[in-house]
Amino acid sequence: MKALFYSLILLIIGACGSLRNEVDPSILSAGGEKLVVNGYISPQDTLLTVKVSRSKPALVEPSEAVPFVVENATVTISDGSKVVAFRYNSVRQFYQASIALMPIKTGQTYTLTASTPDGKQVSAQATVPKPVPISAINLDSTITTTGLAKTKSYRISFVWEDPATETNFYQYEGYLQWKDSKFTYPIGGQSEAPVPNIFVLQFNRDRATGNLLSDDRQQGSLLTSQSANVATISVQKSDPKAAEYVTYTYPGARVVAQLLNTDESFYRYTNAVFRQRQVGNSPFAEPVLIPSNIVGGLGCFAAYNRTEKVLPLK
Amino acid sequence: MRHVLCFLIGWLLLSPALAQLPNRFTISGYIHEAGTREALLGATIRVANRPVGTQTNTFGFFSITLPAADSVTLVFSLVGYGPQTRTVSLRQNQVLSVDLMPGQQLNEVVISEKRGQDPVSDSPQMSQIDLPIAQIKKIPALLGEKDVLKVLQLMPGVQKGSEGQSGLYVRGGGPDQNLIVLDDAVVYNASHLFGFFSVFNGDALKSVELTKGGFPARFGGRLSSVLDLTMKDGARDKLHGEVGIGLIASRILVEGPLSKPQPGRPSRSSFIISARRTYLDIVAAPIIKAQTNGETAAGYYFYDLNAKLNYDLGPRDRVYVSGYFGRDKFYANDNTNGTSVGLGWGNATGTLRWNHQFSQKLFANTSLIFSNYQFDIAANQLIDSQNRFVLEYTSGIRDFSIKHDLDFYPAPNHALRFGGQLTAHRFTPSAIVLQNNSLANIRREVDQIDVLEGGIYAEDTWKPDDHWRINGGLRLSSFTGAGVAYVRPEPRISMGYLLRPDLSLKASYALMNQYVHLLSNTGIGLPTDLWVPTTELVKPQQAQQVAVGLAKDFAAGGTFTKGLALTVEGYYKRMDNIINYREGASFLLIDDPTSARRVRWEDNVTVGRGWSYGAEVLLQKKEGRFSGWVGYTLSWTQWQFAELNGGRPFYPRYDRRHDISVVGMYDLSPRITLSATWVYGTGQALTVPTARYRAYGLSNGVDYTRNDQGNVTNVQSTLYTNTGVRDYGPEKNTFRAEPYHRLDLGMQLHRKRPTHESVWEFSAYNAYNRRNPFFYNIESKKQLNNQPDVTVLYKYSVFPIVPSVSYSYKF
Repeated sequence: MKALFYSLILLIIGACGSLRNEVDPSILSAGGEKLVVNGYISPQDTLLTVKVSRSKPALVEPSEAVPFVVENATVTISDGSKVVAFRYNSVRQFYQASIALMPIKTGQTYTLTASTPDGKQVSAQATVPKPVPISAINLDSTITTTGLAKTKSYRISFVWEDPATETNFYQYEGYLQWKDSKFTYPIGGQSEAPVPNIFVLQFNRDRATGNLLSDDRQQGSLLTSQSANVATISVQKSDPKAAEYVTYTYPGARVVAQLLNTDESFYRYTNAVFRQRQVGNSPFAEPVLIPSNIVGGLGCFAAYNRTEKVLPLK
Repeated sequence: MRHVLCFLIGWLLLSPALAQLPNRFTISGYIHEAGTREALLGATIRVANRPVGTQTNTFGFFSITLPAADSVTLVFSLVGYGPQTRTVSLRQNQVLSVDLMPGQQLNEVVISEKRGQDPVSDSPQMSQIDLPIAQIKKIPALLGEKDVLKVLQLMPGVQKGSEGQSGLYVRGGGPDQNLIVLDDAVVYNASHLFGFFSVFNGDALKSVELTKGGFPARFGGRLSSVLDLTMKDGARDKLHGEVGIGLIASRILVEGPLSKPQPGRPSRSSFIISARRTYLDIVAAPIIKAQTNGETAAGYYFYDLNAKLNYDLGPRDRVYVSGYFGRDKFYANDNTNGTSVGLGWGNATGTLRWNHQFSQKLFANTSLIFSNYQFDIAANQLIDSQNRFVLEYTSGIRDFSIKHDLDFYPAPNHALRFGGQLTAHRFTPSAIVLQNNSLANIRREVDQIDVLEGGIYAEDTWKPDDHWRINGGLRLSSFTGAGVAYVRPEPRISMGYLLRPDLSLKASYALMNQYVHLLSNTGIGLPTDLWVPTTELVKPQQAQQVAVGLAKDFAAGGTFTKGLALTVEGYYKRMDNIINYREGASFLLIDDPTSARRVRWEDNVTVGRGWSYGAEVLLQKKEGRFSGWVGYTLSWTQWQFAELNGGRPFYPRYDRRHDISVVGMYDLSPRITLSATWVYGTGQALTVPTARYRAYGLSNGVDYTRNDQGNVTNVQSTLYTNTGVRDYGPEKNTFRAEPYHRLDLGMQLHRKRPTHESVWEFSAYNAYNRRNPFFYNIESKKQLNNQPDVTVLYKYSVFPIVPSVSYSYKF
């Protein structure tokens, strides 16, 4: 009996090894270096912009000597009849082409190719979807009272009618724009022109998809964006005319809602990137694979069509 | 529908006709354990020297109808009990009550594919596993906590998930596809401590039976398996008790007659009550308190309680009341800032059963059943002197059922069963109360959903001649509620053909429907797993399975071959409309309170299909001092979901090509039992990054230019970067983890006295200290001499060698 207890104690001591062990990296298949291409085109563009970068093996050695960005690629876009080459903008680190050279038209399919001197070549295609108009913007306000102060918050959401006969994918956005005319500071004796202000609306993130929406299971119905906070104004409790403060604080304020009718690869790619980042490094969550329509590479080349609706705030 | 009804009516009319044949008499009765008078299920009744026989049902009842004879010899037997022989004159119907003596410890028999000394080759049933509880207690277990589900994982066709988890993966199906019933009541979450232990306390169980294919018509409701657990009735002779002390939990059991038995007349009633509780929290409480100056109390515990009571109303009637209640609780309270957090979950079940014997050939059972599973999160935090944040989240499912079953034995070669069940489910996918003084009170409830699930069935076990063994039947399942209604027929057939008296070929087909679904986003037995009904958007799951097999009993003569049996089975299973969480979806159905849109759980799931095929070999030694088995499974499982892996098929995490288990028990002497198990399994199919890159997205931030007047024009979306995006390669789950293997060793020291018995048990889980992978993670690792960090792959394991000791005392 005694011997048994001793051997048990020995076993317990023996058990105190580490439960975290480094694994030989060779059990992972090496991904190799791939070209990563990102470009999104729409008829509303003024400048076509494409980013070319490279992937690195997951278990790479620390040297960041090789940068992610690829600066020596040849990037072209074609609509089937003519080919336009992009120019590299080394300040912004993007490949750019003027829309004048290659107008983007609804219904047209475009082919993007990128190649590097070391022989890597990738290509992708995208077709521009139809525009979908925004039907209405809804403006809500809520008043919260804390102590003597009242806080009035304005929120918007907007709706649109989903075309019934096709599968659609959307991204919605918006911004608040106003003229900051009251506060101008004379610089060098000269009064500066009024500074315009832009505030990008933060929509409540749909937990699964960010600002993306597909008409899956709601084909042809009236779709709604999440709501976004536009402005919050504090007023004294005794002052009932909160609304006037808006025009005072945000003169000439208007909300611009934007609806992007995107192609499927845009939706799948953006959605997956969003979800992969949301899952983070948790080993218990299912990893999110990021699909790519770049043949021979990674990333996304997609097309969308944007519509806008303006709501002046009074 | 009409054909089905005609078939059923025809069957019912025909069967009594068979029974009306002249000059036949019926012998019926009950088989009990001698002493405790516990009813014995699955005991075999055979006519000596003839291939005619039957078995007792769940309540120990049997009935056999034979041609008139001056003398008929019947042999009554059951694994672990000494056989008994009775010779009766068959000139009129007979009622026989037989008590079997529990066998010697040394003669006890290990897990058998079919209970009783009924050879595996003689039954049409295939793909069924029975676990005698006495054997579960011999097999070494993690921390000494004997676990029914983990022993089942050692059988071919049944696999474990991650290390230490009690969930069952049966023939390519997930833990959501198993129907787990305890005394007719469905147990919705069989996990304690996040799946490391199952809720079943072996002390209170009488039998455990798992069916993984060839389902008889009486079973329905899940795709992959039915795990039928029966609680002990309680001893009728005198008060018995058992106390067990282990490293993490203690157990107590008391059973006995309710009224004092008279000499020669056993008590008409008995009870059993058993309880188990962990005591980690009690041990840890003073330490936590001391370290936080008494400000913090935190802990975790689980307990479960089983109770059963039965009463003989008369020779033909008996009632049973049984219940289970279990709960896991995690809590943390901090007095300094008035914060308290709690997490709790548990099942409660209750069953009221009434046995009635209409005649010697017709036995009925009626059950009223209640089952409830609930999961709660509660958080309460003082934000400042005036404001308090309160969150209460509840999800769960509650059932009320009525079930009626009839067993009818018209002739020795027919055993009919028919009956039906109706269940009212109430689902509470989520109910949230959020209270925050600075916001208004928010109460958001996803509506409770009430649905009705039903099933009627008829089946016959038919032995037309000396070669054929057939179990055929039909189940009609139905579901109404949540805006949908279904009635679906489910044909079932199992056949055996005896090539030789000890060798048979078998084949079976079963179609199963599943109307309730489990949303589980981890594959680990978390309490957050959510049961949901079939709706307009989510169709019932359906599986079809065919299996063929061979069963061979070896000669009883040789020492080594005594009780040795071999079964080989091959199966193909197809599953449709199975559901899974979409990638990145979240379990807590908490939506944006300010949004007009409500979160629907349906939006978080994706529907797909799966298929699994493989072969299973089981070689068992059922009797003798040395007993045990060797199991091998070769299988392939694939899934295909519209929104996973780009719609292409992939191997799910628990696809396991090879699975081996070796279990051995050896009675060295009446005082010492040695046992060992060794398992091997192909590594899990995982998704591991192969590369990383920067993904540039289209910003919902804006890029704009200004014109000469300073007005903003040309508002454009811009490219923005997401760093650290991982590339997992084009296909999901292409990385295979290292194989899993483990050896467990156990030793039991028995001390028997006329009035009591004590057992010391020593065991070592993972005896050779294998570092089995639990998960892999990519992390950066610091380097010496200010070198930049490197990125490396780490393997995490859960259990090194875990020795344990436990003690139990029984009177």
